[in-house]
Amino acid sequence: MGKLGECSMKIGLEIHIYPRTESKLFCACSADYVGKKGNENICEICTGQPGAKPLKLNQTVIEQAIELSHFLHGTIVEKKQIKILRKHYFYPDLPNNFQRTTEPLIIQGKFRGVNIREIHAEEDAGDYDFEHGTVNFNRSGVPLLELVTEPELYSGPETIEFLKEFKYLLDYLEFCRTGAEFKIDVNVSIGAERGEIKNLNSIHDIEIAIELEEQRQKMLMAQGKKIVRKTLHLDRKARCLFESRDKEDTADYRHLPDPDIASFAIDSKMIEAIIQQAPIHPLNYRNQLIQKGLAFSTAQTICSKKNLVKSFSKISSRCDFLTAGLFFQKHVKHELEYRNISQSIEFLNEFLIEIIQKMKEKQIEEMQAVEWLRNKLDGKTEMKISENNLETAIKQILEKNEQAVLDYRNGKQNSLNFLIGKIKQENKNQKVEIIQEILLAKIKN
Amino acid sequence: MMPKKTGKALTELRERTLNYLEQIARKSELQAFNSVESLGKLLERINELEKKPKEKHGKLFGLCFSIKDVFAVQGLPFQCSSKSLDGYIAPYSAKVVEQILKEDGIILGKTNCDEFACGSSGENSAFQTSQNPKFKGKTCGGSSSGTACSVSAELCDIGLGSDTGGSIRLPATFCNIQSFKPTHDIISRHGLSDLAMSLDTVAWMEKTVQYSETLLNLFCEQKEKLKEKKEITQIGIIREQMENLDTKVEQKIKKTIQTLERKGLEVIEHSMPLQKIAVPAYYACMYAEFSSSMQKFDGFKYGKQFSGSDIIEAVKVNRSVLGKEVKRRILLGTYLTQKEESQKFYKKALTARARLQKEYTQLFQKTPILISSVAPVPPFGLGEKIADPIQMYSADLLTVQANLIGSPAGSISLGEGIGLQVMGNQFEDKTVLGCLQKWENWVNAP
Ligand SMILES: [Zn+2]
Repeated sequence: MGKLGECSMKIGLEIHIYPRTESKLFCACSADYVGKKGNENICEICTGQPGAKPLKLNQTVIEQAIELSHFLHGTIVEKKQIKILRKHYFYPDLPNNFQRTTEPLIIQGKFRGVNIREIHAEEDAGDYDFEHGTVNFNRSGVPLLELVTEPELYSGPETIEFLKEFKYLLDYLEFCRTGAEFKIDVNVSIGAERGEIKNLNSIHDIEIAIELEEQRQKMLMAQGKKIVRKTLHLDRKARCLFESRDKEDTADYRHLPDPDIASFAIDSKMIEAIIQQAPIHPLNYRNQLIQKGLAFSTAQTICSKKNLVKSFSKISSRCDFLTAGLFFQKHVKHELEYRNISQSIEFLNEFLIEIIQKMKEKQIEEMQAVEWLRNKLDGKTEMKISENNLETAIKQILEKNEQAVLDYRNGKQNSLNFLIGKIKQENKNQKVEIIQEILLAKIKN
Repeated sequence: MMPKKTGKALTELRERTLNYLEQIARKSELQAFNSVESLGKLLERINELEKKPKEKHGKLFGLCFSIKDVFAVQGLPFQCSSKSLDGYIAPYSAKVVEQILKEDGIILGKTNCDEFACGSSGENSAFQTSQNPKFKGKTCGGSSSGTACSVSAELCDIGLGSDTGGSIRLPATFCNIQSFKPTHDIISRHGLSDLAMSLDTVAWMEKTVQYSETLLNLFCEQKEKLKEKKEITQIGIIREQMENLDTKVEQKIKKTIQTLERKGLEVIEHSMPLQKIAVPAYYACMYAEFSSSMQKFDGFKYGKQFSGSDIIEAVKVNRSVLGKEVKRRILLGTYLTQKEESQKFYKKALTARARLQKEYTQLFQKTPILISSVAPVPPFGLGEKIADPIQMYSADLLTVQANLIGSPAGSISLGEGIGLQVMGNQFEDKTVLGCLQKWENWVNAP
C-alpha cells in the first residue's frame, strides 16, 4: 500500500511493553507502581543514591522476553555473556542520569509480515512533574521490554491494525502489567529523514500522531523544504505536534557496559523449558478456526483468552464444532470474565462437551446450558442433566395430558397451545419455538 | 592495644572508645576526620554493647573503625569530601558498614580523602588536607588520606577505605602502617561511592596485621572461590618494577629482598615489558567509568539543591563546585567514551588490560606471590606535586596493576614511608594475608 507511490510513507515502531513482574528490574521494590502514593515504592537503588549498587537482573523479564519471542518467530540470542549497558543522558526522572538496558535478547522476529529488528529489556524512569519540579520515583526501575520494528508499515490504518493485533496477542498472553500496557515511539518518513513522535500511549493517539506527521512532512515537501530528523511530542488538547526541547536527535548516549552487573546467559535449556510451556499461538489458531467454519467474530473471541483456547482445542473435536464455537463466544467467555477466572478451565471440559452435545441434540435449551454452567462455576449442586432435560419434561407432561394430545391429533389447534403453556410453566427458560418443535415431533409420532 | 574479648572488656571498652574520641579532638590539626559521631550516639552504642553477655559478643566487638567518607553510614554525612554533597546525610548504610555494626564494631566517624577518591595525596579534598602524622609537612598519600592518618595517629583500631589504583596501599605506606586490598568484588561494594566500578575494592588498614583475616572472612561474599592458604617458598619480582625507583626506596626494597632470602625464600626475577602500559590503561578505564558514575550528581537529589533556568543549567551550576581533578576526570572520561573516540582510546585500554591480565596469570603460575615497592617514591611534600597531574599519577606506578587484574594485594611498612607490596593471583587472598602477617616481623627486625 503506497509502497510504490511517489510519497511512499514508511512507519517504524518502538514499542515499550510493561511485562508483569513482582519486583523492579534491579532492586527488590514492587514493580506494581500503579496507584501508589508518591515516592513510597522506592529504595536507595532505584533512586540512585551514591554508592547504591543494582541487584542481579530480574530473571523473570528475560523469561518473558523469550516467551514473547516464541509468538513473534524471533531468534533468541543464545549467548553466554549478554551485557547490560548504560545509556547516558540527563533528565530529572532518571535517577542515575543513565538508563540500564540489556543488549538485544531477540533478533529477527516477524509479526503480521513486519520484521522485528530486536527486543531488549530496560529500566523505566520515574515520573517528572514539570510544573512542580518534583519527581515520583515509584516507577523508576520498573522493567520494560522494548520491541523495535523495521519501518515496514506503509500507512496509518495499517499501523493501527498491526498494533491492535499486537495488543490482542499481549492480552491473550496476559503479558502486561494491569494499568500499564505500553508506550510507543513512532517513526514516520515520507522522504529520506524521519520524524519521531515519542511516548504515545494509546492507539488513538498514534493514529492522530501519524496523520499530523504525514501532513507536516508533506507540507515541507510541497514547500520544497528539506525534512530534517526531529523528535516530536503530541499535544493531545491542541491536536498538534511540538518539538522536543531535549537534543535527543544529536545525543550520544556513550553506551558503556555496566561494570556493576555481571553479564548473563540465555541457553537452549532455558529456552526449551519456556517454549514447552507456551500456549497455542492465538493468531494461528484463529485462522484454523475460521477455516473450519467459525465466523471471524467467534474465532476472535475464543482466541482472546489462553484458557478458552486451551479448553476449546481439547473439546471441539469431541462435540459439535459450530455449537461449541457459539457457546464459547456467547457465554463461556462472559461467565469466566464475570467471575474473574483467568486460570485453566480444563476441569470444565467434560461438562462442556456434555452440555454442548445436549444442546446440539436439542435435549436442552441454550439458556438451560448457561444456567448449568453458572451453577457449575459457582459450585452449586450439580444439575443432573437427564432429569432436567426438556424432552423428559415434555414427555412427562404429555403422559399427564393424554386427552389434549388426542384432541390435537383430532384437529383441535387450541390443545397445542394448552400443552405449550403447561410445558412453559415448568420450563420458564425455554423458548416457545423450541418447545413447539420438540412437542410437535413427539405428538406426530 | 586491647586484646579481643577479655573479661575486663566492659570498662575498657568505654575507656578506649572515649579515649579515641578525645584523641580525635586533640589531634584535630591532623585533619583526619570530615565528621565524627556525636558523643551521645557513641555512649548509646557503648551502653548497648556493654549490656551484651560475653558469649554473644560479635567478631568485631568493641573495635573502633574510622570510615572513609566514600561509604554510606546511615545518619552520618556522606560527602565524599566534595562540596557537591554538602549537607547530604546517608539514608542507608553500606553493606560492609552493616556488617561491622552487626558484629559489634563501633564507628567513630568519616575520614577525609581526595574528592570522590580522585587523587594520590589527599590534597584534592574540598574540605581539608590531612597531615601526615609521621612525617611533618608531607602528604598522607591518597586517596584514603584521612583514613591512613587516623590509623597511624592511633585515632581508631581499623580504617575502612577503598582502593581503586592504590588508594589504600599508598597512604598506608606513607603513614607507616599496614593495608590489605582483597580480590575485586568478593566484597559487596553496595554503599561505596563509585570511582571506577571495575577497579573499586573495599579495603582496610591497621597498625599491625591483626584483624585482616577476621575482616576478610566476615566481608567476603564468595568464600567458595577463595583458595586455601599456601606455604610460600618462592617469590617473584618484576625487573621493570625495580627500575625508576627513588634511591632510598630502591635500597630499602633490595635490603628487604635480602632479608626474605635469608629467611629461606627463593626470589625469582621476571621481566614484563608490558608494565609500561599499566598506568595509561588504568587511567583510561578509570576516567571512562568515573564519567559514567558521576552522571548522577546533577544537583537535584542529594543534600544541597542547585537550580538553574533549565536542567542543563542546573547541572552546570552543580558541577561548577566540583574540584579541578574531578572535573578533569569527568571531561576526559566523557571524551573517551564518545562514539567517535571510544574505539581509539577506551577500547585500546580494555585490550591492554586484558593483555596485562593474561601476562600476570602466566607469571603467577611460575611464582604465586609477587613483591615490589608500593610507591616509586617516599612521602612527598604537601603542595609538591599537586600542580602536575602527570607527576601525581606516577605515584600509582606500581599499585594500579593489582586493580587492573583484580587481584589481592597488601602492603607492609618498611618504615620511613616506604612499603613492600605483596600481590597474589585472584582469590589467593589468604596466601597474601599469610605473607603479610609472617613478614611484617621479619622485615622490620633490626
Ligand atoms: Zn527500589
